[in-house]
This record gives sequence, C-alpha cells and structure tokens, in this order.
Amino acid sequence: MDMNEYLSQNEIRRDSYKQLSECYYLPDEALLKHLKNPDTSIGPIFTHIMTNVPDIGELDQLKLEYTKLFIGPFESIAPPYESVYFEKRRIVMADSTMEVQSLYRENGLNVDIKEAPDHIAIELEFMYYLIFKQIEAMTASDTETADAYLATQHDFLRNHLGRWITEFTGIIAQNAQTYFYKDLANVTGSFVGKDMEYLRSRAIQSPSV
Amino acid sequence: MDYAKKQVSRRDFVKTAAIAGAAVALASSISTPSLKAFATADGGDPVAAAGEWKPTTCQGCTSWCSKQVFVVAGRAIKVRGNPNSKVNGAASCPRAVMGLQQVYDPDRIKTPMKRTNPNKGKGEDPGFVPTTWDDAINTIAGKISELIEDGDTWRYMLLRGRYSYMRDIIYDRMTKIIGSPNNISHSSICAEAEKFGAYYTEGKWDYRQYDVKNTRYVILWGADPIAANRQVSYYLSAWGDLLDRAQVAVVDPRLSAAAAKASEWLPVKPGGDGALALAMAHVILTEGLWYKEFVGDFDDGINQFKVDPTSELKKGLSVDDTATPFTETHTSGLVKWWNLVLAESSPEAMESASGIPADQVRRVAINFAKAAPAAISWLGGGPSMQPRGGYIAMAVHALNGLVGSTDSVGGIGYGNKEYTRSFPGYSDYQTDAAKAGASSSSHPKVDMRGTLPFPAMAKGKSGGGVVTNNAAKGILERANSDDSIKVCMAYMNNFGFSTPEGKNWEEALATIPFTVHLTTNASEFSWFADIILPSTHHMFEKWGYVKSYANGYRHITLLQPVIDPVWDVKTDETEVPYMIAQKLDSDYNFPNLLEHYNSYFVEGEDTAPTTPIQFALNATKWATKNLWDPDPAANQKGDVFSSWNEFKTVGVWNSGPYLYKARWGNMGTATGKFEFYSETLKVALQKHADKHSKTIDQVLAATNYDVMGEKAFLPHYEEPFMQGAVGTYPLVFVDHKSRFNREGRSANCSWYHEIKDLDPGDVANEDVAKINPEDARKYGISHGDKIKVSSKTGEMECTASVWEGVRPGTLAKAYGQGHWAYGKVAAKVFGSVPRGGNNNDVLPAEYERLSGATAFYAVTRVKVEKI
Repeated sequence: MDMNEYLSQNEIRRDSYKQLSECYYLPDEALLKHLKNPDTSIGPIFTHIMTNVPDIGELDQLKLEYTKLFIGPFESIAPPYESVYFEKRRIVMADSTMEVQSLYRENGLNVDIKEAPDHIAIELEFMYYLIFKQIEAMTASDTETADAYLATQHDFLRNHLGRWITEFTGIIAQNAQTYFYKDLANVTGSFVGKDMEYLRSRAIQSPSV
Repeated sequence: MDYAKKQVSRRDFVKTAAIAGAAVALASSISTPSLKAFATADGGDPVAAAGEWKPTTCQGCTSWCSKQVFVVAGRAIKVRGNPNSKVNGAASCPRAVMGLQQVYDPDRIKTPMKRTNPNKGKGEDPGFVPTTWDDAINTIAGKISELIEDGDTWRYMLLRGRYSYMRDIIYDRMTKIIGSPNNISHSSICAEAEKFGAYYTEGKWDYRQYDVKNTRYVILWGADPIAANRQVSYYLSAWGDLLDRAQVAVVDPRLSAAAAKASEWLPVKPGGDGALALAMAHVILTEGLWYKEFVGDFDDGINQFKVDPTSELKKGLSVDDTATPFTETHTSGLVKWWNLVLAESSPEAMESASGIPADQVRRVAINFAKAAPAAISWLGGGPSMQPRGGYIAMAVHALNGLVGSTDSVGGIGYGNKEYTRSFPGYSDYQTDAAKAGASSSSHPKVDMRGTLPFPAMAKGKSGGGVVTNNAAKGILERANSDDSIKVCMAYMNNFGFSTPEGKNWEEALATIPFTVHLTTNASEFSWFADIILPSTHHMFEKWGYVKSYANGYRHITLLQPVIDPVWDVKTDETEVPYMIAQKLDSDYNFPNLLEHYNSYFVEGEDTAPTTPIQFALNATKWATKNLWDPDPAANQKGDVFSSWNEFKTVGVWNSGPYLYKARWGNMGTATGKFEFYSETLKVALQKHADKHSKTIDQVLAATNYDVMGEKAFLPHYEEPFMQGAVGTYPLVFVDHKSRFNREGRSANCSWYHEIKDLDPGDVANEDVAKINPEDARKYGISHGDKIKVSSKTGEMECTASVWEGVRPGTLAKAYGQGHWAYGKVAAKVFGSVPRGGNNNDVLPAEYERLSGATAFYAVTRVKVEKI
C-alpha cells in the first residue's frame, strides 16, 4: 500500500467517525438530506445505512425513537454514556468520564456542548479529531506526531470507546423500532470493533505505534 | 515508520469502515477539523486534580442542613456537613451523600421536552421529544398570554412541591401578577396537623426544636429523629450523648431506628396516641408532678387531682375549683381539662384504646414528669397526620405544658429571630384584571380550603391553610366548566405519587389542557405534562436559601451552584419565571412581570438583571441582604459578615442563641397563655362556623369528629376514623419514612436499594411490608413472600418481611418505592410495572380537616395475600 492509499484509508476512517458522531445527535432534516444525497464520494460499502435512510416525512417518528433510545425523559433505553456501561454505579460524570475529559484536554479540546464528556457522539468525534490530526501530520511528513496520534486512538479505543460500544450498540439493535437505528447500531458496533482490530494490528507490527 | 509497508489490504479495511462520512465529507477538503462537540482549548491542560470544599444546602428532607461539597474540576465528589453551621455542624446523614447519585443520574431530564401525543392518561405514552428552551418558554408564555387576553387568568394554577425560600417568585408573585388565586403548595401533605397541636395550645404554627443537650427525658411520638425529619444530621451527632444522659421512650407501632436504641418502646395502637397522651397527663396530675413554676398550683398546695378509690379503672374525681381554687401561672384551663377529659383518662381506662399496659404508661409518665422541665414530648407526623389527629397533636403537645418544658432549657423551643427579607410587593404590578382574577373570594381556590368540610385553619384562619391533595378533586369538579384549570405549572412535586389515592390526580391532570412540569427527573406527574423543563438540582446547581433550626440556633443556609451542570438545566424558582417574564414582555405585550422582577436588586451592589441567572443571584442577595450587609443595624443578632462574598464563601448565617422562657406569659394564643382549654381553637372554629352559618358542633360533624360541646376545645380522645371493615381488612396500615428517603426522590439511586436493610426490619434490594410473626402465621405469610396489600381504595405489591418489630394487628411499610416512572432503577418496567409498592396506592384521600392535613396514618385497614 503506498502513501496515498494509506492516506485515503485514514480519511475514510476519519470521515466515518465523524459521520457516525453526527448520527448520534437528535436527527434533523439536514442529517437525512446528507444521508440520502451524499455530496461527496464515500466508501464503497457505505450502503448499509443508506438503504434505510428515512424520508423527511418520517423525521418526527425518528426523533421520537431517538428520544426514547438516548434521552428518555423517563428512562433512556440505551443511555449514550460510557460511564453507565463501564462503572459499577449507574451514574454519569464518573471517574472514567473524567479520564476521558482529561484526554480531551491533553489533546487541546474542551467539550463545548451541554453533555457529559463520554457521550457517544463526543467520543466518536474525538476519534475523528485524532485521525484528522494524524493525517495532518502525515501530510506534513511528521511521522512522530502521526504515530503519537495513532497511539492515542488505539489507547482511547482500548480504554474507553471500545469497551462499551458493543454493549451499547447491542442494546440499540435489540430495541430500536426503526431500521435506521438498528443499522446505525450494527454499523457502529462493527466499525469500532474492527477499527480497534486494525489499530491493534498496526501496533503489533510497529513498536512505535 | 514506513506507512506503505503496512499490510492491511484495502479490501479488508473497507469492510471495517462500513460507512463513511456524508454529512461531513467536506471535512476531508478543509484544513481545520470540523468540530461540533468540542472547542479547541488554549492550554490543553489535563483536568486539575486539586479540589475545593464548596458550601451549599441539602434538601433531601426538611432538615435543610448546611453542607459542603468537594468539587474537583467542576464535578462533585463528596459531601459533608458545613462546620460553619451551628445547627448541624460537620454532621451529615446518608441522604446528603445520595444527592451525588441524583445529580449524576443518567435518567435526569437533559433538555426541555414537549409532548407529541395529545391524549392524556396513564396508558397514553406522552411521546416527549426534545425542544429548545426558547421554544418551550415561548409556548408557555403564549398560553399564559391567552388567559390574560381572554380575561380568565384565575384558570392558571401553580403547584408547588418542595421549595426553597425563593419560592415566592414563582409561587406567589408570578401567580398574583398573572391574576390567579390558585397557587397550591404541598404543605398539607407534609405536616400541617403537627403544627395544629402547637398552635392551638401555645400559638405557634410551626415546628419545634429540642434541647437534647440538656434534656433528661424524651418521649418520641411517631418521630424518628435519627432517621427522618427533622434535623437528622444534628440529632444523629447528638443522640449518643443524649442516651448517656437521658431516658428515651418511643411511642410508635413500629420499632423505629430511635426505638431500637430507646429505654422504652410503647408500640401504640395506630390512632391510640391521643389516649396514651391523656393517660400520661392523668398520671402527671394525680401524682402531683406537673411543673408548678409554669402551670401554677392549688391555692392551698394540696393536690385535688385524685383517683376515685371506688373506680375499677382508677378514673379520677372531679375537682371543684371554687372550693379548691387552682391558680394557673402561664397556662389556662387545666382544671377544665381534668374535669372534662383527663379525670376519666386513667392508664387503665385508656389501655384498650392505646394498647399500652397501664404500668408502662405510669412509669413513663412519672419519669418524664420528674425530669420537668427538661422533659420533651416530641410530636412527629404519625400521631397528628391522622383523620382525628388534630386533637391528638394537641394532647401530645399539651404534655409540654404540664411539665413546663416549652421554652425551657432541656425542653422545646421554636425558631430564633432571623432577618431575611420578603421579595418586593407585587400589587403595583398587577393590572386591575389581575387583581380581580387573583381574588380568592371571587374565584375560590381549587383545593376548596375554607369550605365547611375543609376548615384548614392554619394560624386560626378558616381557609388559612392548604388542602393539597383535595386540589385533584377540585380540578375534576371544575373540569368542563368556565372555571376549569387551563394552564398548570408545577415544580419539584410529584402529586399522584406522593399523595394518597393518586389516581385522583391522574384523572385530574388528564383534564388540564396545558401542563408544564419543572423537575429534575421525569415522574408520574410529568407523564401528564405538555412541557417538561429540566430543573437544577437544589444542592449542586441552584441559587437560593432556606432556614431551619436546632441546637439552640437558627441558620440561614445558601443553596449555591457549586458544580458545572452536565445538562442545560435552569432553576425552577428563579430562572424559569424570569424567562417567562422576558417572553411575556418581548412577545406578548405584558411587561408587568418582568418589571416586577427587575426591581429585585440591592442598590449600590447590583443593577437590574438582564439575564435569568443574574436575576437568580440578585434575588438571593436581595432576600438575604440583612445577613451579609456589614451595617450592624441591619443584622442585629447573629453572625456578621463583611460582604456578600464572605457570606457566600462561608455559606451559612447563624442566629443568636435561643432565648429560653421569653414566651412564658406571652404566648400567641387568645389568652396569651399555654392553653389546655383552647380559647384560640374556640375562636377559630366559631369563625369558620359563622362563615357557613353553622354551629361548631355541625362543623365538627362535617370534619369527621364526633366531639360536641366544650370538649371540642380540649385535647381529647376519639376512636380513630379508619376506612375498611375489620372483617375484610384486618390489619391497620402503618406508613413510615425511610432514613434514605430524599422525600419520594431516592428510588432511582442504586445506593437506596443496596443499603435499604439499614432501615429496621427492611431488606436490601426489596420493598417490604413488615408483618408480625403472629399475623404472618395467621395469614399464611412467610418471610420473603411476594404479597399483595389491598385496602378499600387500592392495592400494591411488595415483599413480606416477617418481623417482631411491628405491633401485631398492623402492617408497616416505608414510603418511597412503587414508581412506575422515575428512571430505570426506580421502575421495574417503565410506564407499567412499578418496582415495589407505593403506600399511597392503598391510602385513601382522607384528611385531618381542621388543619387541612392529608392523613397518612391510622386511616386505613388492609389485607395481605400471598401472590
């Protein structure tokens, strides 16, 4: 694989994380429009969700489903917070959440929305950011920095996102009433799982990663 | 690293990257990351590890302890008592700690939400979806504006549950300026009948404090101060020393936490407390042990309160006070009380009513009176919040008169003087229409207070108190009329869950076209709302203050935002009404409310607010100004601060010490004395009777009392007024409060369930009804059985705990569980199957009507079946 192919591979990873992150906000027209009519070339297997993107007319139903899955208000079916799956106590803002927040800070980021730092959309966007910075370094031929970002991705998946994503997406897949969220859950779960494998394989191959 | 050498085939990778960015595909072509959740930080420092103790207040129960929260990087880590408080000091109770699980509960409401299902009912999922604050506030302001436009503002209703003293902003001022009389508080599901006892004997419509450091004998009447209301933290810290110094007798059908450590347990029959108190009074008089410095004496010094030697039940002989005059010092009506009530109330005569052996009554009464005046008759909710609890409260409280412990060292006291201010007056901001709309004589309040069967005579005034639970009936009765409630705002409440026969609320709320619920967690009440607004958690996220007293002091303790809230929450009592006021001004041509709120600021210190949070802070500073203003004229006694900032940092203001005996001879009663014969009650009842052109006897008949004539003004005993025939429902239901109840709001905390066995007789991770082994055998119940508890008005399911600590013939169960909507931990199957049982499902909607108090005790019989 040459440099260009490797770059493009990581661009797909980067954009996939960003796309997944967007899907874990309350759905709106813009999201559905983009999913239906992607305005750029996308990965060849980006068809799974695409086939079941709801029409705009179904947005209200989709919002309702999103709410029940992730917001509640009485009890959310799949609370989108790492700490809920990872901690002994069912709470937000646990020690693990603070670790995540520290990682963000170490990487020059502050959470800027009213949400717990380990919300799924935020953790996915963090991966996007790390890959973005990795690609930036690669492009500038700064191998050391690129490697460091790659290592951070691996650590983040191993210590955080990768540890709860399977249970989280499993609950969604099992309880979602719409294909959209079922597919999203399946795709997220398998994507993150396989990305973790990918990062591990790279780490094994190169002690510097 | 040579990237090109990495052997991951494109085909494999593409499989892993099952999707790629569409909405954000632009990102690949730009040089800066497209961030939605993040902002790039300047320093990029890791989260600071150093923390800080910050002061605030716990309102888990109504102890209202001053607390400190350890905050690291904007996150609460732990909680302790605020050592600066002279009321609770460094002491803390488990509730405060449980606040951490509340504030970080993943089931909290995270954003304003609106209903999408227009149908309302228990079986109708409201289908809430998120909306913005602006949209929510605009909708609310629009609905209020419609009422103003239509000229029927009295159809606005404000329901208040728990509160801070910022309450009047939303509860009073907003309701009055809109123009409605229908602000309904929760007070009468709290403990109004308890206040009735103190008011109609010594003129204090209030709770008491107890000098446990100096007392020598305490009788707890249904109170469990080391577990539940009030001042739990303080009493937990003081109780060990108290037990070294004093005797404690506990009157309670259930072996409470205090009873487990007491010298005497008197497992009274539910409703028999009054009989027991009278029997004790009888003993105190016949033994000549009343406290003469306070009560006075027979002129000749010879005790004429004598037992009739011919009476098998050792009843007393009447006293002829013309022949043997008794000159009372600070009391009034002792001989009348004896002649009409106490003489016949010997322990033997009252034994069947109270269920307590005469010798134990005699022993407790004598030891209690010998400790006078350092002897406390400590009235809790149990004896008073009963259909006939008004007179029981008087009887129990009157013991403090007999032993002169009211306002005595080692006895009982009230609130120390404090200097907080009421918010600015509202009448200048009311339109004429609002004034007319808010008039409760033109538009009677929806809870029917002051009507013949609901005197609710707080502070002696017919209709002076609230009949909270009856508002459900009122709403239903008015539904479909021109007086129906059209717009309801409710905060920090869960009527329906927290009120007996909650189905009345479910029916009532389904009739209200527009309801807004301000709450931290969506509850059974929220189920019927059109808009739900995420409230700040009082202990960690809110500006406000509360007052309470114990240990000889009163403190005013600040509620402060001490953490970075996780979600976009606003404060119910300040920010939300301000936002509504702003919207009414900007979009609905109604500036009055905003103009009123903008007048809340301390001149020279602040300016008129422009934002909701600034308003919240301004209002807190305004109300507490006399505490932190260094001008000594403003703050005459108590802690002195140099500035608001100093007060805020300390977090609590302490009054001067309690002045004992200041009220002797100067009681707030009709006679100015401690009234055994209540002239004060006589006047109040007469006014209520006159209002309805009835006699006092007719009023009493309409309020479920049997008494007639002069006895109506004396503490006396009547059989409990209970629902459910003995044959069908053989056990008397005994509700009680858990030491872990943050009122009804603990059930979504896992700690609550895990350590529930620290309530005597309870079982961890279960919701148990405690049954005596004798009854368990009789009804074929084993420990751990799943059971159904039924009354005439409803049923619940829970688990049986076979336990000796509950009086035979009763079934005791802690309130707090049985939620079908309060979060994943609280409900078994959300929306349908509760976890455990809600006591209010078996309790009927009944009242101690003279005070308006809801009856939770000695009000229903139940049956138990294994399921």
